[in-house]
Amino acid sequence: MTKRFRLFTIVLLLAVGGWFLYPTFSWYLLTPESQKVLAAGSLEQIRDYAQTEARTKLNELKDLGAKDQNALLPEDLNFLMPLVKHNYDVAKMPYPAKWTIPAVFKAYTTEADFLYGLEEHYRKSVSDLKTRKGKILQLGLDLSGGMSVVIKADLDALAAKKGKALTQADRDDAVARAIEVLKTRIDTFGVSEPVIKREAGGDRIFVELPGDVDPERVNAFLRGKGSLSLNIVDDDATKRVNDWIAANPTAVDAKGDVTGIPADVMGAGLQLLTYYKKDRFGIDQFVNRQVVKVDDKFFLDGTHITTASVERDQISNQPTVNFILDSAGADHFYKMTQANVGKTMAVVLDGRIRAGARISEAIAGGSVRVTGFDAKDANELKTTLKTGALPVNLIVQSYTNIGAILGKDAISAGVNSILWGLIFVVVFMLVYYKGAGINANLALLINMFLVIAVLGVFNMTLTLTGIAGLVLTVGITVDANVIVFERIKEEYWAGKSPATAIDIGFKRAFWTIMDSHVTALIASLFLSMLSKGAVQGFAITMAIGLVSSLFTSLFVSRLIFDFEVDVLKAKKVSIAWRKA
Amino acid sequence: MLVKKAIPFSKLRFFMYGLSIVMIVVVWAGTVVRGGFNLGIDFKPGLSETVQLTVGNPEVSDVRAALKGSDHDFTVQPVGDPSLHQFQLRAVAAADEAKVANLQAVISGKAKAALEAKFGVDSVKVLQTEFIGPSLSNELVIQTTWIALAAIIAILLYIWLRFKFAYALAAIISLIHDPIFVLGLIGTVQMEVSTATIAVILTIIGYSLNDTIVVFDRIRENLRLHQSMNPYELIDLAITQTLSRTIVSSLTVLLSMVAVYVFTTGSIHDFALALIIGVVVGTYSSIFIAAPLMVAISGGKPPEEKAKKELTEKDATEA
Repeated sequence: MTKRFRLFTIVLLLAVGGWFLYPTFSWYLLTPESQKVLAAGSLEQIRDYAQTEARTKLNELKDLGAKDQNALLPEDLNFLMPLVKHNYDVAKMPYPAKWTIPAVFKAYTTEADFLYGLEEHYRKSVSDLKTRKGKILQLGLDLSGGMSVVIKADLDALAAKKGKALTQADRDDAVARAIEVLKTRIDTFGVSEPVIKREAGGDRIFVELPGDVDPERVNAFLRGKGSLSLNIVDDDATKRVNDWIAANPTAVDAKGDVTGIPADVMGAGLQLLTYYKKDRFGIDQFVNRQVVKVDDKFFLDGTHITTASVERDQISNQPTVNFILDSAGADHFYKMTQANVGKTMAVVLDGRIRAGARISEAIAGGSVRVTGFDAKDANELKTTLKTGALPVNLIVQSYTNIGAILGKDAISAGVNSILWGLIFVVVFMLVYYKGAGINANLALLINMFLVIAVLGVFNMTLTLTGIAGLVLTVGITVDANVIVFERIKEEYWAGKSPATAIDIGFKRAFWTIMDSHVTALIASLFLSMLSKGAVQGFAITMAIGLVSSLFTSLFVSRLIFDFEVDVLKAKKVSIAWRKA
Repeated sequence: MLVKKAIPFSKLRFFMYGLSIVMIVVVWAGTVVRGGFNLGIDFKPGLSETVQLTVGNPEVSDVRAALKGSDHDFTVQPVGDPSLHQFQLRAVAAADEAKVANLQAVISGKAKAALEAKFGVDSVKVLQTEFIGPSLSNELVIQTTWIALAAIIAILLYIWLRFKFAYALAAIISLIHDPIFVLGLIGTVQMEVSTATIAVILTIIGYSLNDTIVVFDRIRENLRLHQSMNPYELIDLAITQTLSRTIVSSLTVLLSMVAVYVFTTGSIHDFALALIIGVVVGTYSSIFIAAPLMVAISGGKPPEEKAKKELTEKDATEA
């Protein structure tokens, strides 16, 4: 390999590393704090942000337009133009000579439309931020604060319940459904960026919730199997109760719960529930209150639902939600629908009404078709029906919650250890090896850079133990250089020319370095298989560091020596703090 | 080739063998006296929680008293700056609680209730909670054992492949020597044993091997250059030749781990300390134990190596 080619390889690697690290660099150092907070925001926070920003912008524009009829649309709002032009086209209006604020307003029929357009823009800008954040080197929960839970699906209990051994498909299905349930439950809390994934092929589920998470709330989604039911709505009672609430507004508390309804208004065997629909931010929005019957006869437990799907009606092309009941459920459902033709059936998930449908006829056979939704609602209902009741018991196997303050302490501890570790080593190498110390330190810095770049490329998370691994990598890289230097020093002191001493030094050190790196790599690869996050982080960083150290010590450091000898025509090797 | 004057390390070998044995016996006796290892929740399932008491001036004894009589036995340790009143609570989960769905919430809730009963409502701030359930803990023990064993065997195979068997066996003995000593020390000072400890042990093994391999490499090379030399002089020469490398490398690792030790707290702090001790012991064992032992195993003469991958000066002249 020519030296030119080697130089080219190194420069290329550094450039690629830099390219991959740039998003991380710009995120942590160039992005304003407010944007970072926003990207980690919950659904509610994002909605509030979008709405406030849109409202402020609108008011600004109005003021501007009122002051000066000919004021042009500010440039930062140019994103509105495609839609404005489109609206002009639709209304067959000619474009104005200049896009003044009144001209832009004219494109919208109502102020709400305009506001909607602005809101959408700000909502999208946050999701863009989130996408950007997803592409950078992530901080582990021990650094950012947050909660990590390992949940085991109790498949043994499921097998005992079914009375037969589970097939792999049964297990996959049970765990997949449990994950769906957890997802829907966590979504209702509006936690930002939850990570929910299954152990490959296993029965464990990993849940990670970054940021300050209220343990009480999270315990709620871990608890219990959840409840899904189909209840008949009592229309008369619904009207009675809603009238009573309208007359007694003080009975509704801040959370929207109603207390103190008199027994003669409510009636026995009934329950007041609230109907919620998700808005475009994914947040539950209050629709209305309905009274449902909770008697056995008017109620079907969701565990009878075996599967649910969305299809399109062949004639009307409207989406329909189909679900299938087991045999006991089918019998009960037939009786229930037979007795309640013309009434509404509510789908109740964890105490909230999620959907309603009118019963047009008695349904036998346990195969049920529900119509009257748009595609989005139909899909949501399908998910609800499929996941409302947990198929298996979930057992919390491990649980770690780290407050954000502790996380901040951990970051400064990590940064300090890396910084001071580097400083100690760099200074020591300079003092001990003089000129050659620069080579080692350069190789060391390039190595750190490459390791972090690799971590970034594979979207890995940096944990505190990962940082410990990084610090250890400093030691490993330096060691490789030391082995080479000691060899060069020996040869040089024995009277060889600088070029020969360097050459022999590297050749002799090659297998020593190889052996020591391979053995350490074996240890770190085995460690990385341990299913404990903290140890994994350490082992993976160390493994990457080892491979990268092989490259920098044998390749980069060599090139620097060759450069000194060939290009700078060095007659001496500066490699020791003392003479031989 | 410049032949340095060899330092007669191997003269001390019987003294050093004895010293190693005595030290290992002492630290393991210490572990037994202290009542065995202080197992962390990775290996002894349960809850570990750091709480801060924000009302009054509670002492450890107050916290212990508050938690007395709870279903779970809590051990309480003060952590960090005493003026912040932070305590680590540790409760062990019983095996029959393996099927309790939300065990961490149950135990944590009880602790909080007991503390609030004594120190007042809203006086307890939970800073950190860590919980490992009984079923996972069992799996971790089994998994860790297998992984550690498999790693050691893989390393042994690699050294065997690269060197002769006597080298591999001596390397393995010296690499068992280091973690056994460090483990005993961890038990004696009652440092918490967790999966991170396993990481320390394997890292120490890696480092110690590293040192050993560098010395062995040199012994092998010297065998061909100084065929007539007495085996113990031969290894003394190799150790002397690599001594500055051994010391410089260990020093740089120590320097970087000292930085970690100074700036971190908790398990990583312990991790760094164990590693620092391990590096020192590893350096000692590769100088005083591994090489002389290798000569002893091979019957007084280090086995001659095939010269296949070795470099002569002729090879080294090509650019």
